[in-house]
Amino acid sequence: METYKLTVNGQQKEVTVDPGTPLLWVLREDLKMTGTKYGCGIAACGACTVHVAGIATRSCVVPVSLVGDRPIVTIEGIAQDPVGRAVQDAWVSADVVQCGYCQSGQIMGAVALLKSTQKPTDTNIEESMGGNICRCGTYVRIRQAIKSASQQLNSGGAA
Amino acid sequence: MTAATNFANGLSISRRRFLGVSATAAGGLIVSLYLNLPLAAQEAGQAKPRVYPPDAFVHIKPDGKIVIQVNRLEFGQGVQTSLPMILADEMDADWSQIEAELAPAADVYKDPLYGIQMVGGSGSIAHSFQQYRELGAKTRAMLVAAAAEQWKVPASQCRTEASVVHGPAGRSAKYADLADAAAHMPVPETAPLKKPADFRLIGKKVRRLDSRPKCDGSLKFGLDLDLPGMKVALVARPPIFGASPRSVDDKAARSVPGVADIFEIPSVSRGTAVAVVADKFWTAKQARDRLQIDWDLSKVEGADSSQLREKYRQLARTPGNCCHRSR
Amino acid sequence: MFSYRVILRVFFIILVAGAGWSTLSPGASGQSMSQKETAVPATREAGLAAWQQVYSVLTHPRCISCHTATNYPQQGDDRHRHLFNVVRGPGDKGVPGLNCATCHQGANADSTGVPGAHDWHLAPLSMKWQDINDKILSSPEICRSLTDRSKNHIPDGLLKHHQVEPLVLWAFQPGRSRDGTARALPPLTHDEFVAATRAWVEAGTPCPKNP
Repeated sequence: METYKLTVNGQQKEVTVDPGTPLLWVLREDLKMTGTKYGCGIAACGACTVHVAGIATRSCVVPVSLVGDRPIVTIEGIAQDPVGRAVQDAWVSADVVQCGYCQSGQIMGAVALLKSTQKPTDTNIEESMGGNICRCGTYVRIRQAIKSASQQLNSGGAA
Repeated sequence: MTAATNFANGLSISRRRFLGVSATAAGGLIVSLYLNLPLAAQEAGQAKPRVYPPDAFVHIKPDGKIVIQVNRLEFGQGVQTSLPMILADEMDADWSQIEAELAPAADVYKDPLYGIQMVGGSGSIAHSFQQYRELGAKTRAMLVAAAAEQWKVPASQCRTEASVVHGPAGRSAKYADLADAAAHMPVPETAPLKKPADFRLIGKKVRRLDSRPKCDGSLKFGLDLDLPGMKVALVARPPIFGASPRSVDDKAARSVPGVADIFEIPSVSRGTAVAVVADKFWTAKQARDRLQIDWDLSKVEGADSSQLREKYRQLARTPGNCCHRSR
Repeated sequence: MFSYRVILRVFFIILVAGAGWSTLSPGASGQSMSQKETAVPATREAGLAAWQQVYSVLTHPRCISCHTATNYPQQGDDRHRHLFNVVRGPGDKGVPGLNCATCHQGANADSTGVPGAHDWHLAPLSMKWQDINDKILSSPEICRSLTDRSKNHIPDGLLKHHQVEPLVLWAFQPGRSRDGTARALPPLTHDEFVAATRAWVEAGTPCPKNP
């Protein structure tokens, strides 16, 4: 067992866990933040996506011992970011979700895309979001919502 | 006409015709569950309607918010929004103040047709449409009755709109302010339902009640529940249906700190699996992965593709069950 | 595989001896080229032999899986296409939302079976060592690629690259897979690889002719 100081959504957290514990389980069980989901445990589905130092990261395969002092942002904190808010609003307007289980990861992936590529093309969307899978098949509305969030952000209007 | 609309219109359905409709409806689920219907629903002729108390389904809060209990699990099919819509429409409630909750386990939330609390068989709207309309209509009637009594006017001179009762001579009262008095009114046996032309929510696009919580991580799924004293279990499953452990070496597994217990449990096709119980997922996973299991495959089905194909060929030569004969 | 390593090691030892009394010794990495004043100039044959050693490492799965000609890396000892729809991206580091760093951290994650090293990314297309059908290129082809200054940005720093580049070092300490098994190692140790590189460079980086 080791003690780690983590920065999560701008707050300092301290946990004492087995060093090999994936960040996902530290978030969900030790910090009781269940917004980040467990879908596969092998980085295949994207439901566990968080941001670490601004990079979309699959928390189910990253041991907490490798995080260091890099800041972590989860779905619970993404609304603090204007891009995050725009994406969430677009998701609601477009009625993207069905069961919703994959959507935390989809939103975190979409935010990473839009923060890096202001006007993503269809190819950009397919490549960046192609690793986030949705059993309900909401892909068409995800694409629409990313485009409308992009328009909203680029029109100069804040959320 | 489907069984649902017949039921909603209060027409009596002969048992044979109901059976006929059920057999062609979506899914074998309906057909098989029909056999388990409570006696009341199986009586020849009219089904006996069940009385549903509005206060088990609608809670009007002092601040105006209205919480509606949904008797089905929302998993993306939309009932979290559609069932409250139906109730709120008949109730003339302000949609912006509506919240929906998954109903707790209780008798009153059972599916009216199947008699068990469940979701499936495409039955949510089919079986609860009439039910939620009546709940909304009765709640509205009780609110109107409360206002009429306070104002000493006939109920027929009152109308409702967006969570407000309007009376003669410009009187009005919010539902939130009438809620207490309404709760003490007798629940009417029947209440008039709207004509479909008067629907304000049903058939229209409304704000969904589940979207936002699914987009901000606040909605709890099954895996997210955290109950006092809760443990986590992972299961080492047989590699083939019906297999069982010949031997289990759990020494390495038990050496993982935090493992509570390891034991065998039944698995599908009369097989046996091995469960690991711990306080945390990662503990259980490490222990489960360290189990050394020697699987006994002697009792597995041993399906053989060529044998199965031959069986299907033979079956294809025999007459099957008639599902539908077009005229 | 084991016996191949033995053969290579024996050959290597003979090579070193044959190249004269070079200052090379096992475990001596990081010796600069300025110490070669005591070495006998390497023959073209010795250089080609050293090149074959280098080639044997470059074409091992731990190295070649990121030196692809396609828009995807490979993984596993069978070098299958990397799963989960990962792509090269414009900077060889994946795409936003699906970077290499999305999963690969600065060190091996043995508890989850994900390899890692500082700045995990694909080699540029100029350093592809396979064709677009994932077939490994021949020894002459890869040798030409490494020595082609219009393609290789680091021909002068090749020795240093082999000595200190984190992703190169990773290949010799590649961590464990998800089921706990250690990943297969290249046929030489890192020290041997560096020594072979040095010997090849000192011989003037000769390339074998096409057969």
